[in-house]
Amino acid sequence: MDYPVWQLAAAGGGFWIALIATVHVFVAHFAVGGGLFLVLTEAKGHRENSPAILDYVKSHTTFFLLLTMVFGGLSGVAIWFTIAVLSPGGTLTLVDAFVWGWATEWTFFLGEIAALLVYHYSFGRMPAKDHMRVGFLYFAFAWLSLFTINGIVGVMLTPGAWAATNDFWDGMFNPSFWPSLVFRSFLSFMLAGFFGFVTAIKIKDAPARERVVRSCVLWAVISLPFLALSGWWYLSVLPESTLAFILHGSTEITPYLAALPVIAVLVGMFALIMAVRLPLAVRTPVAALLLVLGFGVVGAFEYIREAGRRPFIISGRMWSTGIVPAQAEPLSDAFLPRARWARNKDITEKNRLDAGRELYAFQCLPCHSLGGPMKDIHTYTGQIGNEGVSAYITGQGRIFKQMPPFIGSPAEREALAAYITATVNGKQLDKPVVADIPALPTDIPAYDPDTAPHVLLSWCTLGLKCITDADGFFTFLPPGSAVGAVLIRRDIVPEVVKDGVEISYAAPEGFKHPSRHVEFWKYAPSLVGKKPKPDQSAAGKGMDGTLAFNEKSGTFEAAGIPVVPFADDGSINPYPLFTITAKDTATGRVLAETRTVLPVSSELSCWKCHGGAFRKGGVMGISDVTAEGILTVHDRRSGTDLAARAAAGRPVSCQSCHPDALFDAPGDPKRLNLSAAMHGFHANYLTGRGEEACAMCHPDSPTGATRCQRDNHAQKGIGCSRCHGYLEDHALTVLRSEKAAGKDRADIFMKNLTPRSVAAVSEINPRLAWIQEPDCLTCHTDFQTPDVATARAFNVWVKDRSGLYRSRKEDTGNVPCMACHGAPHATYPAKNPYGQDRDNIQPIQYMGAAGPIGGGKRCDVCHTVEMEGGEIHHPNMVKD
Amino acid sequence: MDPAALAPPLVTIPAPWGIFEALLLLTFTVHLLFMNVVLGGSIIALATGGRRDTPAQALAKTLPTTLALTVNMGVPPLLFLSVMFGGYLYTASVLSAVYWLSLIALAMAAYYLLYIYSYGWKKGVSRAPAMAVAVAFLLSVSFIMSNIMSLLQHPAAWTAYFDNPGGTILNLGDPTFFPRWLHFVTASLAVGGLYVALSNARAAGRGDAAATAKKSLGLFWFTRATLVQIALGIWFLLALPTDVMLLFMGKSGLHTAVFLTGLAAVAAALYFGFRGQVRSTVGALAATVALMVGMRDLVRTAYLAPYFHPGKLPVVPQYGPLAVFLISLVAAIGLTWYMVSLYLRTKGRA
Repeated sequence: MDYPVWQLAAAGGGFWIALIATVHVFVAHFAVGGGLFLVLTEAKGHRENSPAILDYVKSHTTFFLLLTMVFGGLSGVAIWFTIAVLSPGGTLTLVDAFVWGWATEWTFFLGEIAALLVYHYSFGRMPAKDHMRVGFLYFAFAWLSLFTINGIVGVMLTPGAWAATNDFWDGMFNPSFWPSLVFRSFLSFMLAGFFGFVTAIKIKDAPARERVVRSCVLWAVISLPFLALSGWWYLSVLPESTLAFILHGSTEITPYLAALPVIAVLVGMFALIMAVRLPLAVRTPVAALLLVLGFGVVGAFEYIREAGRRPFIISGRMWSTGIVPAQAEPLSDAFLPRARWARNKDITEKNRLDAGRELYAFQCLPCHSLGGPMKDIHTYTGQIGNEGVSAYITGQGRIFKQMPPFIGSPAEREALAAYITATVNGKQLDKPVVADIPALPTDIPAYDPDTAPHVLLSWCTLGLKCITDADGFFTFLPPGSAVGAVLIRRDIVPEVVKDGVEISYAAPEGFKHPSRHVEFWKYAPSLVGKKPKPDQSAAGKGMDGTLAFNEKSGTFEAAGIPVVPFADDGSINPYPLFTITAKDTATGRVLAETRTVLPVSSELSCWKCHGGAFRKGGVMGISDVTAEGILTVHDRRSGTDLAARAAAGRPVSCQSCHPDALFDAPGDPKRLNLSAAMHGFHANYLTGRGEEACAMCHPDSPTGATRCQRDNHAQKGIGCSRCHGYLEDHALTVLRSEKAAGKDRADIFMKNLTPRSVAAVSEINPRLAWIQEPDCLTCHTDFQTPDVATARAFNVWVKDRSGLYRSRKEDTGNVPCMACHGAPHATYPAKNPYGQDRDNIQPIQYMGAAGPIGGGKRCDVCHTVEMEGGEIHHPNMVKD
Repeated sequence: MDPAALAPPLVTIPAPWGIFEALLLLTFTVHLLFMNVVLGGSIIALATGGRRDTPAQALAKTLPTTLALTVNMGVPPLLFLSVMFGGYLYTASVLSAVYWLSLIALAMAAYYLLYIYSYGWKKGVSRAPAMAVAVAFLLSVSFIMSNIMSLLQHPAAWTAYFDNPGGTILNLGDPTFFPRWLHFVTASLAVGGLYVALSNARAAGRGDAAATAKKSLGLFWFTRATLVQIALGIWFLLALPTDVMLLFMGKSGLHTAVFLTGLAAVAAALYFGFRGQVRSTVGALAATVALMVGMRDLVRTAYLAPYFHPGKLPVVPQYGPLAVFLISLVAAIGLTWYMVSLYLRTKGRA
């Protein structure tokens, strides 16, 4: 922000420094080791009285001078030029701290150049002792320059005490100084051997040639164990987080780490081959190969060292973007006005993409090229749109530390996401998914209020059931809905019928073969360890069946009905109408019949961040591409092998690791439960959003194919957050509960979540997922109607399952709340997108009006005489 | 956009700025002298290569080494410039990044071409085309350098970045650019010629005819180039912004004194040069270069005065490392002297 950014495209992401620095280091280390090689080989030549060897040293010196002084020297200056343009702030920080170090290094260069020129130009004319003294002086100067620069390069990775003291000596002799020095010294000796081969294999005098070549073999091979040991030493001095990142935290670094021992073995092999007297035609390519392998060692080592430092250019002090963390605060303040070199200061419709370009240049380009070899941003974002990119930007640097956090306002974040999506990836910006929903007929079953002896009330226990229809890859919501019913015999004092009746359910036509539309049955043995028959659940329930009477709850129930939102005719309907029939067991006569929606949807928009698209009709379903994307990132971040398992046809359920109270799944008790893991992780990527964040995963987008938040509260403008909190709040409730249970993993997710509905995290009341939910009575104190504008139920939870809305009954203990008020999120009067009264069938059937059963003083639904008083079932039943 | 808004932030330095200033001026003067010998000597070698008594052969032998020393001596001034004016230098570098980075490639290529030229002479083959390309590359290097150095002191030109962030900005619109660059190139011709004269002075004194001819040739280049220099210098002075120019024409005692002393030194150099007194010419020329370096520094400070002065940089001193540097410098110079003396002792032998 303080300096202009060189707007590169394909050569962005640090390409120039990666290329120039690795090439320089390759030659420069040779310049150090080769110096010792020259003088020791000269000594050998004198010792063995071999003019051939001495001639060799002379010609190798010429080669040495042309390569190291010209290319090596100038490429070193090139590094300086390059870092100045790619990271002016970082370079100046180092210059101002270590100027005398660099000045001292320059004095060594001076001596080095003088020594090499004298050594070269006086070869054969200077007395041997003097000449070799000059050679040793060359090596001493060269090694000292390595000594010095080693300190400055090392402080960038392991600042040690320098971070606090800014003392020059603390910086130079930082924690990785000595292991790095030893490593680089032996690297120099190894490279000296390799470069030695290049000229030695051409010596015409055969005995001399073999002696020199064999000494090159020694230089190369003896260095290897010292490289390994000092490399180990180097790793051992790294701070724990840096070491963890290098070893496990970066899929980019891992191949380089793996390559090093392989290269070492190859080096040993081919170097030893050189010891055998083979023809020049063989030795030449082997020598070339060894140079390539040597460059491989240098490249891998330098890449690991640089990448291990992410997200910093100077650890702890300055990010790779040249921005200092302390100056970035507050992170959510607009960035462009703070950046001297931005020409756009605020975001407008006209300049949005250009502002995005600038934001990219300042905060992304230092690591991410546009279409080039260095972390091409297209690779990371090409599969998603701007909504997904926006989520990535929101969450970067929070859980995974290889990136710094984004600095900027929400408008800037969106501008950057738009730039990446539209300009860089050439895609259209995301548009809301707008489902074309047909109006379906809502046939109200026949009912004669004058003569009907019974009232049959039924409900689905979940206002919405989602299924994850990516069974070939994973499941955490297999098909299996629950329906409940209560049969009331109308009377002066009505009675709940508990026996002598059979209550059955029947799926609508076209919905009886869910196995045709989802692959759950194909993978069930792998997913849930059971093998249910097609169209039946593991519990044994099919699409038509009976409800069994439950003594404890006093209602008829059937669970595990594997309904899916896909009809046989290819249409999508998340609200199939099931017919519930009560029959007299003895006579088989139908006592009552009604219809209930068993809602089910797979409108989970995972694809927005994980790639792919909706699987069905462009409006719902998890596609294979999306599912694979999810597993791939889970494997990468959590060290699992889920993608491989899925590819082998053995997908698992998420509950096999994550405890989940919804299914009473124990999972691995040490892990976060599924709700805490999912909400906790994803909340980090979706902070600062409104209720549209809920719709990323839950099917309540107002333009989607499901629109599940359809109850009377929704009609009054009460959204998810009033009861469940915003996503940050929602995640914190379950994370705090997990943390209280001793799972410290929750901390990493909580760290960057700020509650929106209460003032502080400490005020968030923990709750067990699925068990502790909002209590209706928090707003409806004494069953009164609260102020619609201000009523909030967030942060007050029921104590246990018995307090849940779906478990409770009215005060006589006979009738569940759901029977009269409807299913959660569809409480009467609800407005269903597929036909206004689709969820209100029973009120209309029994009362002729949508509303709670018996509401509006319609006690006659169940009571055959007029009733007085109004508190028997619950307070405030009768409103004035 | 107000260029002042683009001024880079202040940084802390580890010693009073005067120390860096002194080191910068000293080491830049040395760098400049070596650089002038390389550029001027290359042009002279190219121009006179076909003659009978050409200095090209001798030049060919020393030019690669001189370039090595030029590059080496370029490091300290770049370092000390980075300490005091780093934000300005690096901003200018980013604006001209493509040119700035190609500078290294050009210098490296020129270096290898000088070796090719030198080996050609050794074998008795003319490699004039190689030298021509080397000269073109070296001129490009000086062109780029002049651009960056003039851009760094001219924040008003930086706003061009907003229309061109691709690193291809040059400072050609600055009225001082061409006189500046031509002044430095012509200086190279002068110093190159003087170097030829100096190299042949002793042999000429002994009566060697070829050496005498080369000494005259060298002095000819020196004196004629210096005369052109004076004209270019006046152009340069007049092209400066008025308020800066006036500093050297009486408004500031220091600035005017440096200018006038510089003029006196160049007058002395011309005087000795026309009289063939090579060593005195060299002395006067060295003084001239040193004074011109000082003047150049004063110009830069004046240009940047509305935005910055190195005295504003906060100092957090740590002198131990400076002491280590000075000790290393003395040791390196001493050991270099020792090694060079060993070399000189061998020159008599075959």
